[in-house]
Amino acid sequence: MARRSRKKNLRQYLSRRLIFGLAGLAVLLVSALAIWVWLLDRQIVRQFEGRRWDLPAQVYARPLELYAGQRLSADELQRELTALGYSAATTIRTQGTFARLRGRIVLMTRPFQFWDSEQPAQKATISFGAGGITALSDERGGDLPLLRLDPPFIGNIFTSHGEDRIVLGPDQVPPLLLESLKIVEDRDFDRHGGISLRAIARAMWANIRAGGIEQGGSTLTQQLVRSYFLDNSRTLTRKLREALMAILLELHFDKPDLLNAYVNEIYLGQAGDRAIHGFGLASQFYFGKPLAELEPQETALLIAVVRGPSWYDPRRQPERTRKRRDMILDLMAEFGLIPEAVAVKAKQRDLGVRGKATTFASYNPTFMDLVRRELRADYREEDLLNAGLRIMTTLDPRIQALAEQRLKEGLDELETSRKRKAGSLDGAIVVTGTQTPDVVAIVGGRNARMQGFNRALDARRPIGSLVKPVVYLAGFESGRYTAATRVEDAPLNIRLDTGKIWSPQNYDREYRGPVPAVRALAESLNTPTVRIGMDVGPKKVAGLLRSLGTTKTPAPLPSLLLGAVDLSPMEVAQVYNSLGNGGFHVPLKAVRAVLDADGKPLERYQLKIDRAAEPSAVAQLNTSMLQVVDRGTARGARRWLRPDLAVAGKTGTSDDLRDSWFAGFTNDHVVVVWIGADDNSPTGLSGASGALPIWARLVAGFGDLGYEALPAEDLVDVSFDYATGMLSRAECGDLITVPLPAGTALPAKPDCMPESDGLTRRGMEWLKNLLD
Amino acid sequence: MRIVPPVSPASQALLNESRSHSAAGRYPQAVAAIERAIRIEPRQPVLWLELGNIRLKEGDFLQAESLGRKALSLSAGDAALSARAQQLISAAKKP
Repeated sequence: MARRSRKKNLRQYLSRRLIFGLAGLAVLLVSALAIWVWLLDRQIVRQFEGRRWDLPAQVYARPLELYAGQRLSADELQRELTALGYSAATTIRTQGTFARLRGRIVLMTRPFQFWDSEQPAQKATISFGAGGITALSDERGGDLPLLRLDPPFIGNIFTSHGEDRIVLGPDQVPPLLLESLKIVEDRDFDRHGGISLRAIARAMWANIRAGGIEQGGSTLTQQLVRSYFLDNSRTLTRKLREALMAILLELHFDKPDLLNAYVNEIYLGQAGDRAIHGFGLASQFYFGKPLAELEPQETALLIAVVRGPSWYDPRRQPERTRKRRDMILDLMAEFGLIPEAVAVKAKQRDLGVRGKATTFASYNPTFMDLVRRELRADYREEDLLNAGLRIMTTLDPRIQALAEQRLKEGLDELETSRKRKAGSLDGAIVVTGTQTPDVVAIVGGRNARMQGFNRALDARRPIGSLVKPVVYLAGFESGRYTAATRVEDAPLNIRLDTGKIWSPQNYDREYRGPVPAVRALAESLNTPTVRIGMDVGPKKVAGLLRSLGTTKTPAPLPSLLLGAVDLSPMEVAQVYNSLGNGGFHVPLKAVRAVLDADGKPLERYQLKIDRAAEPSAVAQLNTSMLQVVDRGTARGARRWLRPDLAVAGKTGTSDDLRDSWFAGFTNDHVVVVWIGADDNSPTGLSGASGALPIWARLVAGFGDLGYEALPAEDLVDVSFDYATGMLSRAECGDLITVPLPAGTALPAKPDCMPESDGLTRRGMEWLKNLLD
Repeated sequence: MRIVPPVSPASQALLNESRSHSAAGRYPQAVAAIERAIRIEPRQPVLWLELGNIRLKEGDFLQAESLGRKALSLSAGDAALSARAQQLISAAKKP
């Protein structure tokens, strides 16, 4: 008995241990599972809430201003409207549409929140003549002084992992898109709790029945979870985790929130290293217009892409994508979202996708880099990525695209004609307004689409003869020189502070004796330049460069007079912008204004101006610089430029032909082109043979007005012989007209004396009248 | 002698807009409107003069003087406009 009971006790004891053990294990397993679920829950909720607020700054190009007198043809306006995603229509009743009539364009603008005001949608008629816009009128035929188009959207400042999106609020998403999305991707969306057994069953059935509508078993919620974690592996644990997270998401958030997150999150295409996320950006990416303006066939196309942006890439797989689009249109009709007749008509329409070449033509990493650098002074990086700021910039998309194209073509051509290895040359271009601080285009290298070394901002290279205009400006400002002053072109020796002797020579090793300053500048003669520069002093030249716009004062050495100073193309653009601006320095800017996510203005970068040089000396200089292209080192540019287009500019070449520069301006634009090799090896190119052809072909495409020097109070136009700087008759001299300080006395050319002695102001004016 | 051409209708509309902002003390808006006009017609001294006068009212004398000089450099030969630019410069110099 005692023994039996002991046995029984032992058995009881053991089974109790087993039960407790099992129970303990179960408790352990359940808690582990609970902890896992809890962790998943935390992860997905954090992800969801974090992403909801991820609003990258949106960047816009300059708005196009329309007004009577604007030199813009109907073709050019139509191109701009097309680039803005305006659609051609026969009657203009909705925003973002236009009609081209004979000599007129009728359009309705989109509303836009500008820095200074909210501009409503506006209907207008623009009339054109030979010279551009002749008149604008509003809906009732009243005169309209000016009209601003909504600015082109360039892109976002997105995070380094390459995801880009335009975040839309629930009220910005058209119902047709949402309803169609549910029908195509997840019919039980409004009822299920994250996963749908019915959908899985239907998907299996559809897959068995070959030829049926392809169906995925994943709910929209599951797809959302998948896209958060960018994991497409097909393991069972991943599936399980995904399903669990979808259920958890549904527990925390309501359907409209989830659907809106989906619309903004889903991956819909690829542009280089930019991943296109969300329907807002996808609409811009494929159609170049806002989601709200899409027609049914366009909405259907985007939904077709959801299933696989590379399998259903409308640009690469148009037929396959079209089939799926048409099927979705049928579904839309079948479920009563659109009338049958609309679906039939929509199916006849082309895909309507913009070509890759024009896709985001204005999206340029170099320009974005400049925008980012400017904003970094006032905003934290995380605000740029998350705060939904709207950035208004100065970019001109047409000029930007042209500059990218001209640089690439030009470099290819130079490499071919010079038998250089393909890709061994690179370059940069900066374009600004002539009287404004606007950076209208910037190209940082031949691969404009690639983010990389930004040569326009970061390549500092010797500028060679680009410095010479500043030397002559210092001379003119001193009052000791005019454009007609005869300066000796002959070898010279200069004793440097180090005790060494410096003997600058001309590029062609030829010397011409006394030449007027304007000719020395035009032909880029070194020895007269050094004579003037040593007379006024390198220190004066260095100081003038600094006030015209270099970021530092260059070392005031004699070698500075021939360009021994390293500047970036952007700094050169600043210096030449100050010259084009008549000696006034306005800091160049790419950002005009910043608005917050609600359209409230935060900051406007106002025009700042200060006088950097004597305006009359600059007027004399700029007129002299016209001779660089008319008679000097840049004569070759006339091959591409209209004969009557006056341009002021200067060639620049560094030692051993390492850097090739041209900088110059018309009335409307200042353009700087630099060509060189990244490893700084000699290129065999002078400014005239490398940068100039690219510059000239670019400027020829602008349609600018020629540079017109402003009259100055104390200057008088004088005509004299280009070669000698002497007064002469037209038949025995090569006469040029340059404004000189009133009272300047010029010698007369022997054997070719003008009939008047020409030394008095009256005489000079008489000569001018004669020439006019 | 030279007479600076009159302000274009587009610039005139912006000039009017700028003046009504200016009269109400909304200087940033007044500046924005005038800068818009300057981008359309950068060689029109009247616009630079207007901007200079707004800066003067704001108490930014350095900018007012520079803008006066800019207007002066664009007004050469036009006695009336030159005089107005000179006025702005001297007003900015002795606040």
